[in-house]
Amino acid sequence: MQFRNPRAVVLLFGGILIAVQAAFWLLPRASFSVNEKRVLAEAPRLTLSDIADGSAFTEIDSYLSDHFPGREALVGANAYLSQAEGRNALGDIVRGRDSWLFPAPLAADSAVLDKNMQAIAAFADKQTVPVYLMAVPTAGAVVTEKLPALHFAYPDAALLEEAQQLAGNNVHWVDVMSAFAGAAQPESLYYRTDHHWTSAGAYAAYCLLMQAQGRTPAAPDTFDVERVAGFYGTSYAKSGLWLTEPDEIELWTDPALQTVTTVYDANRAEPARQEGMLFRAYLDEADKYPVFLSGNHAQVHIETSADTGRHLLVIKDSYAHALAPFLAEAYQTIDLIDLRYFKQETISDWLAANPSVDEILFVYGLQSMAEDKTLQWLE
Amino acid sequence: MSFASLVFLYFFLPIVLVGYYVLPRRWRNPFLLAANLVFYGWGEPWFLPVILLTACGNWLIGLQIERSAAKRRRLWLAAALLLDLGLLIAFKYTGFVLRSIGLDHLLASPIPLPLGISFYIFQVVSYVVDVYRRTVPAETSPVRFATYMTFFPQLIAGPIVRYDELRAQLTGRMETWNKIASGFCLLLVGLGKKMLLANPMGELWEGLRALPEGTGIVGAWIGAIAFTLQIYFDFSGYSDMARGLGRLFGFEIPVNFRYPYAASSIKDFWRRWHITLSSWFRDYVYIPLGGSRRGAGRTVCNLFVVWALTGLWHGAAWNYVLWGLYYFALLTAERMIGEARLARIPRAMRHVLTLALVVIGWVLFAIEDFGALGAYLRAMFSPAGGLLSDQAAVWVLSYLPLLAVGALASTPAAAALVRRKGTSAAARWSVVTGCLLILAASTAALVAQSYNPFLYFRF
Repeated sequence: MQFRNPRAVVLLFGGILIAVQAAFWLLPRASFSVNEKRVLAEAPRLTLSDIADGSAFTEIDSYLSDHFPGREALVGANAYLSQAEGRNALGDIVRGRDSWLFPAPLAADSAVLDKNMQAIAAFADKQTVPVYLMAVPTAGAVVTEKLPALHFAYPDAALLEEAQQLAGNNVHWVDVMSAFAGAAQPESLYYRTDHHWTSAGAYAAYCLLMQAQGRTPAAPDTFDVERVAGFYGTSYAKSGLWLTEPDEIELWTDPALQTVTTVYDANRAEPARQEGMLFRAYLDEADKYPVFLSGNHAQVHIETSADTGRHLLVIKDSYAHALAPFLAEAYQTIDLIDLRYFKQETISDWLAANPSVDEILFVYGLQSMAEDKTLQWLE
Repeated sequence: MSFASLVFLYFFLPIVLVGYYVLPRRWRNPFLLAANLVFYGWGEPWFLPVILLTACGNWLIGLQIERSAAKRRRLWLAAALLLDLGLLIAFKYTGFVLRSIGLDHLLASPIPLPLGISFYIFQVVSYVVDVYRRTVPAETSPVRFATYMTFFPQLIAGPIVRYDELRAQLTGRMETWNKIASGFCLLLVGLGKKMLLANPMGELWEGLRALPEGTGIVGAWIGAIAFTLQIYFDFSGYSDMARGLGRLFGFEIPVNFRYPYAASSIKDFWRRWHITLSSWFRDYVYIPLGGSRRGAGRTVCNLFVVWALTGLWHGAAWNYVLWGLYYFALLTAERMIGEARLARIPRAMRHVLTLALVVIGWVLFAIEDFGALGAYLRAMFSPAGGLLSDQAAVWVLSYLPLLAVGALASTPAAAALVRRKGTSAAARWSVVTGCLLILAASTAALVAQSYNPFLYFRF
């Protein structure tokens, strides 16, 4: 091809290559990626042995791509290009109608789920107190009206049925799936931009648990509802679809109830204590879900002014965090243990040291149940 | 280093370009040689000794062949072939041979394959043979020879450029603005083929292949077509990038693909697909064996050898041999039917038949495991799995727009349009704008590869 002004073309393309490299060297570099929640690669320190074994090149590659000029914008551009090409139903996030970002369907069969359920069933068989299990389906199985026309099938109902069968007779199954599937407004139960359930979703599940125990749940008007806008959840961060409207997060608090929350971590000598269950500092961040119990920790201990004298152990993933404000209505003492971080003793040892526990509740998103292997360390 | 990487496009390339053009002409070849070695050693520096040994050995032997008398020439040629093919066989085929005779336990770990060895060994073989045949003089300068042999634009994925094609350019090439401008465009077209078409087609192929419930007969064919498009855009994209990069430094590298999927016969397909490899086998294997001049039986025999070797060159596994022999069978059949009788089939039908045969060929190429290969071929021809499974339908419909773009882009239509309207200002501007968009989209795709949300880390 003959260009009329080839010099301009050369300067254009050559200039872009040089300018991008110059921008890389001159622009300030972030050390942390908020959307990815990870520390970005550090400048490689090159030694001869790193070069000889090839690791220096991997380090340089990841440093360059982690700090590439305009990285977030380019990730977004790539995500929108895939959408424009019609590929919205593939990948980790399925973009639905009305800015709904669904986590992709789970695999239809899961050996991990079977093993986890066997571990829970075996654990429940040994307990003298009642054991409840709340398995939360993924949003795509519930908010079906917001799914795109084209998507892979969500296998949640079948997976949960299989799980219920494996749970055995000593696990009281709290049927979140049926209740959610029949809900009048399923889209109020999940966030659009996050994989978690909303406070409304957690409240509905709390009501089911109370019914299963033959108790009366606290009425919705017990709670003051505070709405905080500008919540960008993990599905948003994964999707790269930066123009998606943010969510609103609802904080339900009972003004009559006093609580003290203590957070234990393996790598923290002194546990952190505070009044109330909300950690409001997280409301300033894009991802506001850690406002509940400050995110994932080995163990969280909650003392409440609820005059029930009951003690609950919750073995859980992050779905339990939004549920805690409601559980506090029914229990005077709540311990939440996350097996992904709780490594110093077994649950059996912990229960032996805490004989006051009246009930045990498992709260898990179905994804953790189907993919997380730490449940198998229950004993 | 891969062309389709941020470190190559935005770091290596601008530095080498600026360095090359600020240096005086006599320093440019040595500078290119240094750039070649950095390019080659990036990531796997331990293979540098192999390529340097190949370069030194062949340069020295080339000089010896030229200086020696008849009998010694043969000996030197044999020495070169022993060195070159010995290296290729040792690195690429040892594991395969041992596995085939059941002795693979002798190897503690798989032998690593030096990048691009299949390509540069074929280049140096053509060099020593040409020097032996006196069709080119031996290269006297070791720097020029090494610059040719390790020339980074075509070092790791072709085209296979013969020394006589670059000899004049190594000493007296002209870098013009127009050559550089068109070089950028060619580079970006190739980059777009790789990042925006080949990679997504690869995802579609892998996605369909991995479906546990099967794909159905339509899904199986679309999977095979996706691989057909993937391998074409991947390979021809690399070749375009090689030619574009060559032009950036004033070199003209031969064309390697001429719209192979527009072919109307298998013979035609192989005149369009990986042209530099086919002509290498023609000139250095088929014709030395006697070609088609020694009777029909000998011709078939020669074709068999060439196609078995062609298959084996593509990979050290039996399915590649099967793929090569598949083409041997097809080409022999075409030869027996004769061009006159083939021409009686309507052109459109000839085209469709050729394409279908090529698609089936790519399935043989794509699946190394014979059990999985058999299962895939059954899925393509047996209606037992239904037409299109639900899961396959999601894959296929999601990729339908890209499949259409890919199918269109593999025909000569777009290039013909540019050629026809190429003189107008609007056409020139749309080519430049198109290249800019390709660069932006490809960069976005490259950057997105490093975007790994690690979401259970801190909350």
